[in-house]
Amino acid sequence: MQLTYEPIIGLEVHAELLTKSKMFCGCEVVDSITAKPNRYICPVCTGQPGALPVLNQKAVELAVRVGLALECQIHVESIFARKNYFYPDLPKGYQISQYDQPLATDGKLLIETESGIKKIRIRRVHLEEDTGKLSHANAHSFIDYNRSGVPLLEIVTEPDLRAPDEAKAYAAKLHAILRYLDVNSGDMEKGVIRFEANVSVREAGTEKLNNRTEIKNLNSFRSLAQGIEYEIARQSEIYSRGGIVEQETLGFNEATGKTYSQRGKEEAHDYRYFPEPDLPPLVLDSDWIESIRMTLLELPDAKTKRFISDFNLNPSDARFLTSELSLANYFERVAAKSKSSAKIVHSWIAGEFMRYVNESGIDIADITLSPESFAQLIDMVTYKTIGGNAGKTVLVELLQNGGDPAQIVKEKGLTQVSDESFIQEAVTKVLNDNPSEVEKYLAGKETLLQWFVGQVARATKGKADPNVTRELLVKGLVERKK
Amino acid sequence: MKLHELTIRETHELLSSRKISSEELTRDYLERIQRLDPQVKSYVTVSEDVALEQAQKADECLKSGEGLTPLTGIPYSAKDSISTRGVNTTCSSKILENYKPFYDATAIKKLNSANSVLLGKNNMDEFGMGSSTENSGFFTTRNPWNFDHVPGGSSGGSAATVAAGLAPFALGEDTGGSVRMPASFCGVTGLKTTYGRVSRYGLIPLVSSFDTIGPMARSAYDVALVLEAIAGHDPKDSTSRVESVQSYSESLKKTENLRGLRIGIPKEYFVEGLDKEVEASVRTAIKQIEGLGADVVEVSLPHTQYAIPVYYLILFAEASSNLAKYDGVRFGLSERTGDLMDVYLKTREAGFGAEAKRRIMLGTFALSAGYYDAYYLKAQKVRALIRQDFQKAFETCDALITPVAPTTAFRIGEKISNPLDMYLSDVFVVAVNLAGIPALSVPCGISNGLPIGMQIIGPHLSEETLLRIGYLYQSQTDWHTKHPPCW
Amino acid sequence: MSSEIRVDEKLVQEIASLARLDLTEDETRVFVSQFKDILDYVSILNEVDTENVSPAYLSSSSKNAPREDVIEVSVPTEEFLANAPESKDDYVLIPRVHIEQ
Ligand SMILES: [Mg+2]
Ligand SMILES: [Zn+2]
Repeated sequence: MQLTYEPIIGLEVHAELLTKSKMFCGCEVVDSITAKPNRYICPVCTGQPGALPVLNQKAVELAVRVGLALECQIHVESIFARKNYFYPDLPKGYQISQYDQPLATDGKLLIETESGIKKIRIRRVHLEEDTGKLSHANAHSFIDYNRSGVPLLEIVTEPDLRAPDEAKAYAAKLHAILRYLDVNSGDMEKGVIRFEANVSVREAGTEKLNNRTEIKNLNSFRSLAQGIEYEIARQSEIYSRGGIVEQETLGFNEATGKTYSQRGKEEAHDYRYFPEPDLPPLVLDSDWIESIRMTLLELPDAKTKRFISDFNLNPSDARFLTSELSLANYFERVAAKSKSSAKIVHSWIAGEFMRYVNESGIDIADITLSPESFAQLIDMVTYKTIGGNAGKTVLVELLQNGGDPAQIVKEKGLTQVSDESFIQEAVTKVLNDNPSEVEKYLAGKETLLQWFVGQVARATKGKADPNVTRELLVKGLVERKK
Repeated sequence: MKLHELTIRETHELLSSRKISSEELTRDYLERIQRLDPQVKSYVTVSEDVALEQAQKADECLKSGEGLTPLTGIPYSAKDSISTRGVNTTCSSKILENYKPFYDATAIKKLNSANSVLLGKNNMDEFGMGSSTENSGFFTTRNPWNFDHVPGGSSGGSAATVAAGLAPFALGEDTGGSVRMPASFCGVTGLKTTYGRVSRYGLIPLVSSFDTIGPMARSAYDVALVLEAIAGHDPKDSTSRVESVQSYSESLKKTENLRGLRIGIPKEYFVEGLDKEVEASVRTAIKQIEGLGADVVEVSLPHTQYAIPVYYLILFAEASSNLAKYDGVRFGLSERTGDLMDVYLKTREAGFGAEAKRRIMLGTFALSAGYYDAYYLKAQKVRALIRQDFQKAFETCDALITPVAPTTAFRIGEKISNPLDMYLSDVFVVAVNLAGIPALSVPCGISNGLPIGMQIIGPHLSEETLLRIGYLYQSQTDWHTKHPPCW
Repeated sequence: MSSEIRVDEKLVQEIASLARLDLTEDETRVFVSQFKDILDYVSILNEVDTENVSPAYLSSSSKNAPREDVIEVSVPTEEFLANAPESKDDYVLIPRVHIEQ
């Protein structure tokens, strides 16, 4: 008999916080991929004997923001703890983290799954410091402590996820929220968000609690889903032949898509946590927490809902627009200035505008085209002052070089004309100049009509209203049949 | 009068009136160190070059009169757990034998800005783990009063240095009696400061929640001068106190008697095992203090007997974590044979002495899964009760007086083979660290040629009161002016 | 406390490995007996009723006073590396960390 196995998945997310200086010292937080090694260091973040940590206020504020956004309970008193283990990227021999009394607990995040909206419970959100970075070559490993002490937020779910796709959806949603809150840069390829997945499987329908494995270094949404997928298959296979899955820490190899055992490197987890004596308890003022709550922005879910109801957008268009805060903001500003429907504004933004953004690699926040000008241009097309293609040309011009849309339209002579005598002149000329095409059309090849429209558009430099053109062409062709 | 026989106060007079230069004074001390320290063995490092450079700078300052303080041009030494930029800081451990910090501890920084002169770094029990300096990774310091006896520990080198006239004052560090006990054994005045009163930044930790830097000198007045130079809030130490620093020496000058002060004598500190002569000396001192106008009453600190086990359990735990960074990766000793695990194991095997290993082991055990509640958490709870004892006593008393140690300095080798026996010699001093309160060790007698000390304990930030009691007592007695034979 | 814990060479070895201490057989033997004594001694704390007592972790009465998020000048790389047992190209160098694949 073939048994099916149900996966039980919990996620731990480590997100670098967007502070200027490190968590416990004044060293600058830099891009540790491009910075020269060991330049942004001091006694504190290199674990010099006698150095002491001092907490970064901004890191606390950013953490509270996330805690509130995830609807957690923010604890007025939380304490830091030492997590003791040996590893060469950990300069003090312990990591300062939070353990018993974290900053925030008991939150939730809603994700969309195939079977509808699902609530993922957040167990805890806490502050901790990052380690240095190791690289390896031949017989040696190289340590760079630039990253050591960079503030991290750890966000831990309850084991509520049941499929790799759910994990991915959760991760993507959390990623969007962290960007929205401006607490994390979101640059996944720079490793500013890292995932760890706890995975176990059990026979479907049972409530058994089996051993779980912890997969580390999952650094992209793809790796996250792949690693979990592989692990579910591996564990299911072990149980199906009567084996037992060992509780252990695994690595993930991006090249092979497989997990591998990290045992031998670190013995059983015995981190010997105890309260960090160098840092008094973190006591927050509840008024201060409330003041942060007041500054919290509308999050993606709420915004999507509002876009659907206020702008009459369909859900998938609304979700697209709210996937990035800067995009949503830009859309709203253009829509506010435009007389065209939100649907039309959406199609301009999702189409030509996004193509430009993606090709140029420019940040939406850095777009110089004012929403007013963009709205003006959209309206010129909607109200047929210019044609759609001309509109696209003008948009690219505006995005690249700036300027005033009306001025560009005028300079380029793009104003669309629906004056019949002007168009008639061009239609007659096109029909006269292409007798063989006329003949083919009249013989039944009606698809040629679009070709004629194009010819007229070319002859009028795009000024002719295509609908009027089409009408006059049909009339002229019919006349020639006679 | 020889230069080394002067107090800081007297030396300052000579310096500021330019009768002597800081360089002359410094050379005088350096010469004494060269001559006497081979016997006393109180210094691990003598920083001659730095000292002369600083002395010249001090002389310029003395000449111009700008930025002059009572410590300008005054030489001093520091326990080797206090980081000194560019000067070896070893904690008397082989694992840090060649370690030169690239930054100064805040206390050192403050003395630098006062233009004091660093003579060198004092021997200690390795990382502060011991009560005799016999646990130094390098050598044992001798008690200047009798070379066959220990100077106490762990700031034994600093106490011996001051007692032998090899520095007018020293910065010690007290985790569980490490300033008071050696001060008592060597006949000098030593202050364990309120936790957080002096910044710990740059102090290499043994027990982060107990460690305090404190002055050791030849009188309460000199201790006050040093304290006001090094105390104060430090933004680099989250556990440092924000309260402003009093002008201790000024208030001492104004003090005339102890009227209105209530002194408690905790009965649990005068029990079996307390040497008769030590008890007699301390009781005589109490009488003299009573004579200065203070009221004396008996009080009780009922949890006293639990102080040692609580102290050691917390120490084991924190020390095991604080000593994890000595792994041969970034600094200090590194045994580079084999793979990374070998580096860890061989470095720590070769670098740590037996006592350090024992405590790391016990701490790792006390914190590990399954034992945390029974040991570490239990100890922290009993610690709360010990603190309450003191709080209660201070509801009715301004200060408490006890002996510092149950005996005078014991013989070298006497307790080294039995760690538990050694731990028990800290019986009167550790409770103060559990409560984070200040205590002053003041010489109050001599028995068989070895000094006896009394301990004056006060509530948080009561340094001024403690120094006042010590100062007035010393104005009536001369125990603090007595010198060892090697002087 | 100590009565339930079996202090033997195996336990001592396990702790030593957690603490990255390479004990000789002699050291292990001595530690077993010293551990027993010391744990026995601290078991006196069992006498104290701490049922309703909360732990007193910190000696200072201070609250955490966080600092502003301001960048401070870092330490020159050479000063940091001067103490390093081995370094190369501004990295701290160690024997290769083994990662199984
Ligand atoms: Mg973590
Ligand atoms: Zn730093």
